[in-house]
Amino acid sequence: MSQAFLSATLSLLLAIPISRAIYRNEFFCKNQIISVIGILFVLPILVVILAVINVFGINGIINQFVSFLAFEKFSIYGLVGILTGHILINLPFAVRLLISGWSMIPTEQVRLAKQLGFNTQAFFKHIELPMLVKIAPSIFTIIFLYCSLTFSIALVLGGGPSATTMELAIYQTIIFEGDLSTAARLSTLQLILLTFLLILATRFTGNMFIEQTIILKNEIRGPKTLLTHWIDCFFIILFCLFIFLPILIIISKGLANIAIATDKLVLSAMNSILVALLATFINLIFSLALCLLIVDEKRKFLKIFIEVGSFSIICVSPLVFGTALFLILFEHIDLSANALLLTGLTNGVLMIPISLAILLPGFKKIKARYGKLMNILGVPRTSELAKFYVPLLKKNIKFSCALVFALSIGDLGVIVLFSGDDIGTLPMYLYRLIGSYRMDEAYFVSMILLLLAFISFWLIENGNLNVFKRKQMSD
Amino acid sequence: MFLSASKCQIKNGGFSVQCDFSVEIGNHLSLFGPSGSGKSSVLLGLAGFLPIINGDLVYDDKSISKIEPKDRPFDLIFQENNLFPHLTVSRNILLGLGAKAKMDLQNSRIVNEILDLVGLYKERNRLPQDISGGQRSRAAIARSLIRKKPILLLDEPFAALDFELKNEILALLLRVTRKNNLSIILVSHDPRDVQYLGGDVVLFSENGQTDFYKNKSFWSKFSYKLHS
Repeated sequence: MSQAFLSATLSLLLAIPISRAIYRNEFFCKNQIISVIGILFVLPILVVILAVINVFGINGIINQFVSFLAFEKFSIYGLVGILTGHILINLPFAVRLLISGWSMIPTEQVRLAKQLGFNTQAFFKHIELPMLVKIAPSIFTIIFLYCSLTFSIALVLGGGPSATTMELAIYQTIIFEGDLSTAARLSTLQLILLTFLLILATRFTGNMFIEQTIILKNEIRGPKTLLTHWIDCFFIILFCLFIFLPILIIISKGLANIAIATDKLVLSAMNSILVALLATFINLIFSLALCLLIVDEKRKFLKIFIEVGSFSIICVSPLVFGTALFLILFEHIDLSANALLLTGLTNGVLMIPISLAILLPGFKKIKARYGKLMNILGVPRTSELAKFYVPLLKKNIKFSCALVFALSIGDLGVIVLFSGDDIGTLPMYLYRLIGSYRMDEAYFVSMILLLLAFISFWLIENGNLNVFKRKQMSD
Repeated sequence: MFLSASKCQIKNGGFSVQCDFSVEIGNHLSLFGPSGSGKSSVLLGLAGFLPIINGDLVYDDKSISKIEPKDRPFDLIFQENNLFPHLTVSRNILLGLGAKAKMDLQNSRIVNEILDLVGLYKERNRLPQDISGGQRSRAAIARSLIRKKPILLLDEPFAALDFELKNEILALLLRVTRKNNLSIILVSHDPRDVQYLGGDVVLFSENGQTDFYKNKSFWSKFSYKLHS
């Protein structure tokens, strides 16, 4: 848990000055950078690992520079590696949510501060700090939960038992020792701890929510001095280097090792798309049903119970969920043959909290605004979804689907439990390539995986999904 | 002392509005017209939050077009978000004495006097979200008064209040401004507010035109239209 705490703390501490600098300054490609930060949510973990090794590894750019300066090279494996990998994934996420936070500060309050002559300290104390106190705990919690529940980074970059995580310990107990009772004990302890933390954070800050769009106001954003200007510049450059350099290296290495796609690669990519489609479908059905259930439930206790219960799915370890499925089903079905189906189901269910964070606030707003009207008009409950919620929340639904699809496509996840040698997804294929040190192919596959995740995210979020409707109309 | 805006053109994004008026300190002025005609832009321009791109704004024979909002002779009360939600009513009012002001004996006495004046003494230790909309308006007025600026700019701050409560707060404002010889510049699209406040009127049209009227000439010209 300490690595998760450190990862979440460092990500948040770095995200605060970076998001502040990005929000309050105008610079070249600012809007484009903010858009890209949004897509970085879906960076596949294995690609991140390769990127970290390439930039910070023993033969990476940073170590070459260190060596050029006649200093001793440092090793990335261990806690530093885990932290770097986690920060690379979580920093853009935290920056994106915090930019959302800065932009939610009411314009009137900024003007009030100017009218009252606030200096930098007073502005921070009365305007910025209250916003941070409100949203930082929930960002911290999400990152902490994420870091607690991923094992791939610790598995590859951990460098041995001294730098391990609870999820990795569960993975090793299940895979190498086959000791399911210890794994169950560990995961129950993990579930209790994480749920407790989630409830604590919810009490402080309310439920998690993910804003899809950021409205960048033109209003001047607080007092600035020459010193703060240069500090802002430093953080923007640091962030761009830290985030974009690894991605550019993966793409350039992928391009340098471009090859004709093998049958295995094509099959793995198709499998990944299939898993992601299934996960998105299952996730959408469950999320919409849960949102409807929560906003329609009149008994307060039950409403809170369903809401908190749904969000606490985020505390469930994917490995434990997968193992439970394994134990329940292995006597009844051929797990290896149904590996894709089970992986899709697991991904879809475990990503319900993410889609709830995107959809539920919208459902609540619509219920508050149009609930009585729906009653007066006598709209049947079954039609409420099709006639009100879905059309009004089309954008949020697309965003949620895009996120689930792209995250699922890049996830190594539970397929490791079900899959035999013959069937696999793209991340699994990449994992095997890295494991057998076929790095040239691995870079090419990484690039494909990265592009697949980014392009699918972009297509679902921005692409016109009304093609059928339009065709019908033109007929 | 006078505040005068001569051919002041104020820019708000791609839109600009020009106005001409003067007001003697102690008198009031209403910026009246339909929504979207530029009334609030003029108010924001006066307060220093939007640029004046042409003309001049003069107070006490000095140009104030280019100076910082905090140094202008105005205190602007917005439609909403006038109070900091993490500070109690009295701490919000204390900010009017300066960002670094401490609640010492002397300041505490000043704040309590103002709280008494606006009828909020009992509510002094409550947070903005725990008091009513009318009480929040009173607290914002109290902070404006403590700043001792000669002109209060009101950007429809009572739009969310019911008619009686709005009149009650306007009455309070008229009472304290008369006592302290202050002026009010009020933005409104409700003729009843303009009538209640008295004073001269700048009439905003939908086509962006503005016309300045003395109080009597405004009502003699538009009374039948506004009351119909």
